[in-house]
Amino acid sequence: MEIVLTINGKKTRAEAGTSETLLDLLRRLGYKSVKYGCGEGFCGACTVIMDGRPVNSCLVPAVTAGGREVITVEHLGTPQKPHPLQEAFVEAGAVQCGFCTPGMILSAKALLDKKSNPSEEEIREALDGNLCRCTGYVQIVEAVQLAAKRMKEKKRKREKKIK
Amino acid sequence: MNNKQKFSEVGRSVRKVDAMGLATGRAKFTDDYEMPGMLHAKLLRSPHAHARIRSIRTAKARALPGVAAVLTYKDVPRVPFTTAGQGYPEPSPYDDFILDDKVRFVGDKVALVAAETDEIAGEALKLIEVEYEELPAVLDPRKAMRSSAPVIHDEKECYIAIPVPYEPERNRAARVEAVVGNVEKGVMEAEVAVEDEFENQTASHSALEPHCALSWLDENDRLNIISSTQVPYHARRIVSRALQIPVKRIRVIKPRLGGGFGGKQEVLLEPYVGILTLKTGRPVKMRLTRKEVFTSARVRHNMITKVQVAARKDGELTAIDLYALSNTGAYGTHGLTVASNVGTRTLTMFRCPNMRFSSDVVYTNLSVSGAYRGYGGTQGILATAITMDDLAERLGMDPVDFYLKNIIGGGAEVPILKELGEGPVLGQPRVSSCELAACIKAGMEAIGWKKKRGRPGGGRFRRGIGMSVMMQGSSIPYIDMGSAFIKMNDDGSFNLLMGATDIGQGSDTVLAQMAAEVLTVKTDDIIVYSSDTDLTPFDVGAYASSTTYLSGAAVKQTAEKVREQILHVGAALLNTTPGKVHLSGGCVIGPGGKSVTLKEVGTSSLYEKDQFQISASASSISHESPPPFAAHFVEVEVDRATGKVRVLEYVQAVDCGTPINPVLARGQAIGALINGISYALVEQYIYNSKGAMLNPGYGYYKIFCTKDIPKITTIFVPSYEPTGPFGAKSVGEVCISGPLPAISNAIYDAVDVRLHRTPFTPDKVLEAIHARRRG
Amino acid sequence: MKLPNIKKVSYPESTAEAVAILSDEKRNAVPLSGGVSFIFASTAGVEELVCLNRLPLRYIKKKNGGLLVGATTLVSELVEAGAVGSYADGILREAARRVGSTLNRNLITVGGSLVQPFIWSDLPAVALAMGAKIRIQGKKSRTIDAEKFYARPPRQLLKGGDLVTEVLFPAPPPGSRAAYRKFALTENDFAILKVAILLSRRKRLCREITVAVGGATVLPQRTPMAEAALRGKQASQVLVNEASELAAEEIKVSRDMRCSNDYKRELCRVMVRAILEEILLDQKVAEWKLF
Repeated sequence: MEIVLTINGKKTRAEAGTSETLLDLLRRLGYKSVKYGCGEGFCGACTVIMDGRPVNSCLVPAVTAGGREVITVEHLGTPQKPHPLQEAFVEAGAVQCGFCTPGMILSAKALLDKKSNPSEEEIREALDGNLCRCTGYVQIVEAVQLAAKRMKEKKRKREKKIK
Repeated sequence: MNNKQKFSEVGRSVRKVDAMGLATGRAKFTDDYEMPGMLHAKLLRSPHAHARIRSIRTAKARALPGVAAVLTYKDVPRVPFTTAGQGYPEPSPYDDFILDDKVRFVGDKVALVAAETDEIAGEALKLIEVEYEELPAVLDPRKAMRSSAPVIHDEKECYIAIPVPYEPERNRAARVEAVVGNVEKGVMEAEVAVEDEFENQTASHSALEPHCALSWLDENDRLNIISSTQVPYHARRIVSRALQIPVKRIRVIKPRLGGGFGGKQEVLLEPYVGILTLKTGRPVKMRLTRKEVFTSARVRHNMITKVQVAARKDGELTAIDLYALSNTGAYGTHGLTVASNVGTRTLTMFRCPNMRFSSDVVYTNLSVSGAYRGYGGTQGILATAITMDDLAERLGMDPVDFYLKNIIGGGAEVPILKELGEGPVLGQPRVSSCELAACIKAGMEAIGWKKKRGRPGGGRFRRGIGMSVMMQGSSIPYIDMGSAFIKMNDDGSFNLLMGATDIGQGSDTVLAQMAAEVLTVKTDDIIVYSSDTDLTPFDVGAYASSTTYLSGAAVKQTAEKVREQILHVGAALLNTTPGKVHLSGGCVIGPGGKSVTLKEVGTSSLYEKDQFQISASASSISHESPPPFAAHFVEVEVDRATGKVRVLEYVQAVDCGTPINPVLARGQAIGALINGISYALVEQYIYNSKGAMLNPGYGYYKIFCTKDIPKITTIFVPSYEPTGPFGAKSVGEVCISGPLPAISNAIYDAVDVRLHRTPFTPDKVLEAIHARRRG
Repeated sequence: MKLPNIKKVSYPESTAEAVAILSDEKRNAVPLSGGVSFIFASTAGVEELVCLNRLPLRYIKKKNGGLLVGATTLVSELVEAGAVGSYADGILREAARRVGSTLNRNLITVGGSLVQPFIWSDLPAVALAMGAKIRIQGKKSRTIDAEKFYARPPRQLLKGGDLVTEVLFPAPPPGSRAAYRKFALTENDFAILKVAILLSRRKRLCREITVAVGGATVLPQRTPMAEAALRGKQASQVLVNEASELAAEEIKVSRDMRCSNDYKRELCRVMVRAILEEILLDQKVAEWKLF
């Protein structure tokens, strides 16, 4: 079934298989940062931001993804020009095996887009659907705090310049 | 501490070398690789715990369009092997076959399919017609060795390749016995003795990446396999045996790995994709579903442990007697070695003249056990640390004081290791560095032990505090080997090629730091490539907490050899002799401060004069397995109305020698700890009466999420291991073993009941509270 | 997820259009809202998916002191809406907050959660306790009380083309108190048990009370004996204890692999008692200690 959706800002025409999930479709299209971890919406390895909210792409039938706006971690930054969250994850030791990392970062981005100064509790809440077995989460939460702090400082500097 | 030097790259939290690739989604895991013409493989799984295949018909499945191959036991070599990726010859029995006419647990493999798509492969499985003759099953390890029990491995081919007891006719996969002194005499000498029994539950590693493998034949007809493996070299050797093709025809490549924790120290998929590629000539990929990871991959050994500890009135231990009945499940992978580690990881810690450890490892028709972070230490420390808490109480002693009186210190001789070690022991085994006492003191201080202990408060919610001590090893002495190869480039950078297997823990980074330290460059001047059996030198792989210690030593020696060559070239460029120059800050410095940069050295060696490749290789085996130690302290609150246990605060103090990369070491310690707390409180396999797992998914098999994490403090006490590279020993596993007993002890402090069976779920805790009330 | 016979996905923009498609038996169409329950559902016969996300049903409105919630409203929107937080002591917000994980709440819709209750669903118990009114549009549009809606698996009520479009959470009576508590092994685990209670009181006089227990069976259930024990009575610790014991006895419990039925009953007793102590007897309990 042919659908048209927007992936990382790019309008994409794709053939959606009838037993495919959005996760399957994205991986087939080459967005390999979206991972299969459980296929039941519990682990968050397949997290994408869909229409502004982070969701389990393994729970979305691909045929229903038409018209959606989907963002994967490939869209956030590159190794040369990383997103502040990617930078902070690397620095704070929030990346161990890295399998959960794209999903974690997307959940964190969706949070920071809404709330520039989240409390630790809000960070934990926002990441509660992204399982990680390596880190014990402590350094991940620290990374989000670090990124939030830096993004705020950057914004302040930018605003100062404009003034 | 001795020999402590000032390091520049070691001991610094440099960025994890692969982290940015992972954080930007660029890094590739096995499942992210595709090949043109690739087939997708699936295994048909047994619905029965124990059955013989009477007939198996595949015609319909083969006829399904898009199906490329359907294999049954009739189509594959019948060679017994073990999936356990261990040193050769493996200490695990050769009791498994690629496919067999018998199934031994629910989820065991029955038939193998390759098809154009994953979906077609799934459809084909449904078309395979199997007629089973159900056999009586062993679903309780306590009943496995009874004469009436059905024999699970009645095939004539199974055997173990090393000289140890193996009695499949009694469902006994291994037996361990080790004694020092005389335990009965020790108990007689004691004024107080405590006996108790414990049982820990089966659990899943839950690496976020499910197992995956991809194989293809290259232009030279060699079998290439990309695999999510912790043990590429063992995988190559085991595939060679299982498929009966020579090692030289196989290449195993490890890409980024999504966690292992021991679960990927098993060769579970490589033989299957391999045989399908050989049969079809096409690339084949197989990725387990999460459900299959739960039902058909490996689990932590469920054990029933019995322990007796005895002491004089003054608290001095006189005897420790520990027995473990270990449930290895349907196959004996890691059966012997995990069992022996139950003894090693507990008895080593104590100065006690009379100690005994024994174990029976039994087959059952349940999930197959294997290596799991903690590796027997978790089970042993559960038993001993709760019993010692009990003993201390009966002695009227604070457990802290009891431990301080009885634990070993640095330089201690450990005679029990002579009886229990996995490898040959030359001379008297000893422990060089041990800061366990410092760990205990630092931990109790940080949590406020003295003022919190024994003050549960009143009412529905009671508070308690508990502790445990633990240890692990660092490599398997005289058995494990790691090696590395370094070559120098013209810009003064280096390629570090090694078999050491980064599975997410950060060994690429830690080992690069070591090379950088020796070569006086920055870590990002070291280009790391790890674990490709064609390109990197041998390493046993990521297990037994060996990488930093053992592979680290190999990297350090390799770098030192390279440094010698650099000094030669540098000296020539400076018109002096190698003895008069030294390497510092990325320059060869000669008399009078004249210097050349590494770039000049590299360029000269490759292009200018007496050209040669500056390069070296070195190997390392270990002679000791220096234990990292830890002391854990936990404060809990128990709801006496519901039985729910909430961890309020957790303090762990760790002795891992020099943390090569403190941020990564902290990540290891916390990661292991949270896995341990999650295991202690919520994780468990639930089986029905037919041996089928009822909760093979994260819906009903819960692991902790961000919101479940208590306040955690991790302290690294100053320590230096003289036999380790830059004073390092391991840190990957040790901290997983503390939570079970520490939390149980804290529950006891809070509500006066001792929990013996894990996990400490609310229903179990409430039942214990009620039982106590009933008297 | 398998939709082997799917031929079409339609995106109706009005409820009438959706109902028309769904009621056409030849089309073998099923509605899809958040889609989360699809991985659990049998979908072999489905030929058409009717995506509801373009229907004008994504809203939360205040209505006469109550809340009118459109069926395709996301559970996370319930959590975020100020109106939900201030409604009935935040009972609906608390239940919504405890639905699965953040990622799940961004997919699960209010309508889907009400129509397709699983033993772990959080919203049905609150709907039952609050006496929610569920609006169904179809050939015969109607509004059904939560009590009737959950007397049987709700899908049995829905005939071809019927669509749950809206739910009204009515204004709580004056002097009312309400609370929802969930007991689970981990923070976002499926509940072992949950209890929602709405009561109205004058000082200690309990005038009206509804106790809804979820997680004991697939459908949420009221506890009429416990309610009767308190209704119209001067509340006391003794009475609260009695009522919670009655609740524990009278609930139906189906097998849960994680614990015994007896444990669930005990949990029911403890939870009903604790909530009543809090909202009827005004005993103070630190919030994080509740469950």
